[in-house]
Amino acid sequence: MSSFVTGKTLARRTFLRGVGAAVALPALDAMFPAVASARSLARTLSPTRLGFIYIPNGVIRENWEPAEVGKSFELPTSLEPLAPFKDDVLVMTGLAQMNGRALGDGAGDHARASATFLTGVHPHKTNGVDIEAGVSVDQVAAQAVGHKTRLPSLELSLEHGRLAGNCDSGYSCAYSNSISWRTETTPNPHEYRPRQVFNRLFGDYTEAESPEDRDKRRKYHRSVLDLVQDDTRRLKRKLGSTDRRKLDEYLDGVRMLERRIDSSENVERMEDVEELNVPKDIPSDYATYARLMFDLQVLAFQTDQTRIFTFMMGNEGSGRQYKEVGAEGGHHELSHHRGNESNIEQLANINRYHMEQFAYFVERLKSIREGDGTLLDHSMILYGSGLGDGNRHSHDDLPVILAGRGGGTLDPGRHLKYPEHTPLNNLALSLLAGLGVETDQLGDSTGKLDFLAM
Amino acid sequence: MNFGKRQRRNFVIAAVCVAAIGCQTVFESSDSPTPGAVNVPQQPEREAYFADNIQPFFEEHCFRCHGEKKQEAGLNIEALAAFGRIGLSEGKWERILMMVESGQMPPPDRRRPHEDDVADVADFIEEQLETVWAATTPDPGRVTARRLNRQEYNNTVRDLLGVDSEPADDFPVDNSGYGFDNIGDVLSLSPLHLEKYMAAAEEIAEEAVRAELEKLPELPYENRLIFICRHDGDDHTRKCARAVVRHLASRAYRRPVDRRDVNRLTDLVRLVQQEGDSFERGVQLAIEALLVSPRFLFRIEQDRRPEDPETMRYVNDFELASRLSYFLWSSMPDEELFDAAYAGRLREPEALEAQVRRMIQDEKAWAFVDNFAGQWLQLRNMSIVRIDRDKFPEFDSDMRRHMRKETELYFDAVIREDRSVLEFVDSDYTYLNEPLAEHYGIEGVEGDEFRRVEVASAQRGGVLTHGSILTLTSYPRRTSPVVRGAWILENILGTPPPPPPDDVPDLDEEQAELTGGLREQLEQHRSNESCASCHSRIDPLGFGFENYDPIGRWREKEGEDTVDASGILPSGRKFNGSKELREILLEDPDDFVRCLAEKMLTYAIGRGVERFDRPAVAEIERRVRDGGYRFSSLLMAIVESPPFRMRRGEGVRE
Repeated sequence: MSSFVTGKTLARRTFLRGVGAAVALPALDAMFPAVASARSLARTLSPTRLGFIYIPNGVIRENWEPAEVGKSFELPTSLEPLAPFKDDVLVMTGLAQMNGRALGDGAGDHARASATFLTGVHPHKTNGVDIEAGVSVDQVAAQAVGHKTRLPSLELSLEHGRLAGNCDSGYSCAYSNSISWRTETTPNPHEYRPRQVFNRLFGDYTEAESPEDRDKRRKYHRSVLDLVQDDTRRLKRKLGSTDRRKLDEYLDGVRMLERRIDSSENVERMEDVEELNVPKDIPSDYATYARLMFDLQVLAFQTDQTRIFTFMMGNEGSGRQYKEVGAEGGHHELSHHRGNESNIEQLANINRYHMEQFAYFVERLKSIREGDGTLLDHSMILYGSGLGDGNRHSHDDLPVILAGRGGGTLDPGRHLKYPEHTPLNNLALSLLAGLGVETDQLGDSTGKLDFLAM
Repeated sequence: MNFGKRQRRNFVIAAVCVAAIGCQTVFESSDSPTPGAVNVPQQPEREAYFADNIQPFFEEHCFRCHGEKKQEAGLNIEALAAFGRIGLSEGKWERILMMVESGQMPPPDRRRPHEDDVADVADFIEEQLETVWAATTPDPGRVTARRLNRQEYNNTVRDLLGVDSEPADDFPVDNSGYGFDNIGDVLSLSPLHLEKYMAAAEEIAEEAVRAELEKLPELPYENRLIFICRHDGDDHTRKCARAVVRHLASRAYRRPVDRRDVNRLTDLVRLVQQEGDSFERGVQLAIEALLVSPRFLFRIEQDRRPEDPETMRYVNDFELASRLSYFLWSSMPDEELFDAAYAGRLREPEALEAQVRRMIQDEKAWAFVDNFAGQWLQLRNMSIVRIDRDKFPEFDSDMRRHMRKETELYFDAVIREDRSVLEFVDSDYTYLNEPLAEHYGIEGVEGDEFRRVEVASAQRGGVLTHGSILTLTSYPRRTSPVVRGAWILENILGTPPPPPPDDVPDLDEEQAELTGGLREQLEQHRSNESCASCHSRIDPLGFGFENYDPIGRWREKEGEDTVDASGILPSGRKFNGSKELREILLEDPDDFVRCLAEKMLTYAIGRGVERFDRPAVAEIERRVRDGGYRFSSLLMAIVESPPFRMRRGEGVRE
């Protein structure tokens, strides 16, 4: 197969090998010319990236929060995997998503936890048609800078959503299975199959086509899109308002496709990219699976396919069993530990296990040189959960780690403790600012966070 | 006249008017009926009956907590319980009916009313509700344009172009609402979708054109999907191009197309030819355009007055053809349906029934099993349900498949053999192969082939005793009477329990597992009054199935303890074991029939069943009862119901 949207026009070579597809991108250090020292060029070559990683069901606070604040602090057991990168991360405590509380809506804290995590907006309780939360921070960023890359943003997960039934006490599965909201009413679908992610990023073609063929194909695609746009406008006149909104969603998508056709000629950045084997099936081992998805995200950043991603390491309320770290019960079942010591220990093991995977990602980002530093230096990666203490379903004191230097906007290597109930969305404003996107207000934000940089 | 007896089965509306409401129509409309208008006839005898027999019951048992002085749960029955008003605040009266009939109200710490009185009151409320519904002009509601979901997309390109590579498997997962993934309002469309649609369209068009060109020499014209005419010579080419794109477009859009559509698509073919590519490549590009068109990707029904909620109409023949085909096949109409639509015959009752009967026997109706049963009974979750393999090594991926297959074949038998829908709840047969029979401890079934097996014992019969449902409602390491009970309430009886309040502590499940004291813990839980009103409904239903372990095997003992599968329903009815419970469930099948009707209607029309659909649902229930509960009576009642046959303009009605 071949397609401009799956990357046929990317001037790089990929090939199929064995059961897995592999991408081998030529080493092209030569692409970094001597002028790379020029500041403006450095910025274009090393843009700031933004990522959000979600873990479900809260954490065991005792094994998470460092006793000391500031620069000299000990990593508690759940954070120990970050030890080699202690100077590259901020441990942040005291942040909250207070709109995740019931506020009169009864049960459903899990659904509200994921729905508020990046929106700061209290979601509408429904398992039907009228889902509504808020635009999430990653999408605010994507709408501002997404046009600079082939994909405005990437949404990934490690769990197929539940296929039938309601997810949490009368809340639609859309809330538990999404953290990225394109509009107040449309959560972004996410991809959980590594091979599909790979195809989306690079396609699996064997050889580049000639420039003439490419031009012709582009012309054809444009005329197809012209035709359907005309058609849609004609159709819309005869429809009710709900149907018209459906077609507006459609037209949005068409316009993004058009833009991609027009921009796919841009010269892609190329660097030393290692080969990556992407198996056809999802790895059965969780760590392997998570790391493969992290590898793909590294690759997406490295090749500047996108600068923004969200990644759910588990859907909220996930009942996955982590036997590999001695956790017998399902994650959600365990999270209601009721003070039972064995449950608490198993949970702490899960928290730490997730952190090990995250540490792998940080390590990968740090290992890749880019411009005047590393990929990690040019990134802001937030890792956390929309629940603080899973046992109590609390929405304050959320676990939050921020990795990277944000192109110089962050000063990591500290534990920052904020006043109780400080909106997590204040951090969102700061991250957007780090990306060069000034926003006055997002969800329940009250202003930017202090102390991120010294 | 004795109104105390159950009269639902042959309920006739008295043709007189009620004083309280009179004969006034809520909406003035003489020529075209207004959706939702109520015109309740007078019923003096019933009014007297109400004053003598029903009102005193409310006064004695209800007003103290639900009256002018105090409104527990925000409910003032004193204000509602005037004769002319019963049935009008439907939502409230349905809830009252449910609470009284199930024995949840009056609460356990109050004096119990006499059983006969409860039955009289329940009958009265129900009859009044039915009177109101029967006197209501149907409001068919309005279905939002439905995007093809993944199954529908795959099946449609298979039937449209003969491409069966299931390209939609690559698309994002479809969201579901009301338990189904074909709900118009929920099926949103993201930029990622468009990206996938475009890539898929390119592949599908290429594949379809290539495949047909290869077969062309020996393919007669009537069997062709794309190149339906010859095209030698310039002039001929143009004419043929028009014929080809017209044929393709009308099938892709599932309705006739106009000159302008044909012109635009022919232009596309010509553009490709001008670029020096072949006619066939041009057609391929036209197919790409069709496959990304909103008229292909969405099922759109256009109205003359889309924004006027007071205007309702029958869907036209082409819209009806698509409604039928996506309901029963999850795909586009076939030639026969299109022919009937073009001939304008589809809306004739006999023709419609003949089509439905034909369709349900067609192999494509397997999609109905897969998608409707797969979601109603949640069979799709069989592939992801979490079971602890260390504790249950038998539960491998084959067993998951066998269990799902059993229930699918069972469902398929009921629909194709036109059996009673009550067999979903209880029967004396099932479908097994050797591994599953062994799992159940049933002898004499050899080989991997599934076949129908009569089960003599009381252990199996109906989907509630299938390994699939029993596993889906268990935790990884143990059974959960609460989950099983709630599942039955939601999916069989259609009365899902409300979610638990915020502040209720969960059971200590680990503890329960260690001591085997789950039943005791649940009993303790129920002694808490706020828990009792729901758990007295939930738990007994689950206890009835305690003889089945977490992977659906029969068990007499759990560890050292003898399994106790007895229970007491809120009505006071006692039972022991699943067979007795299943029989009780079928003594009054109304709840089950309503539940199934609502689920199937939701699936059929692609929107949630709303309050204004109650009359339509009540009519479906009546037809199913009258039809001896045969599956076909349910199917025809749904297909002929106002929500399926009609639509109205959008907006809030006054």
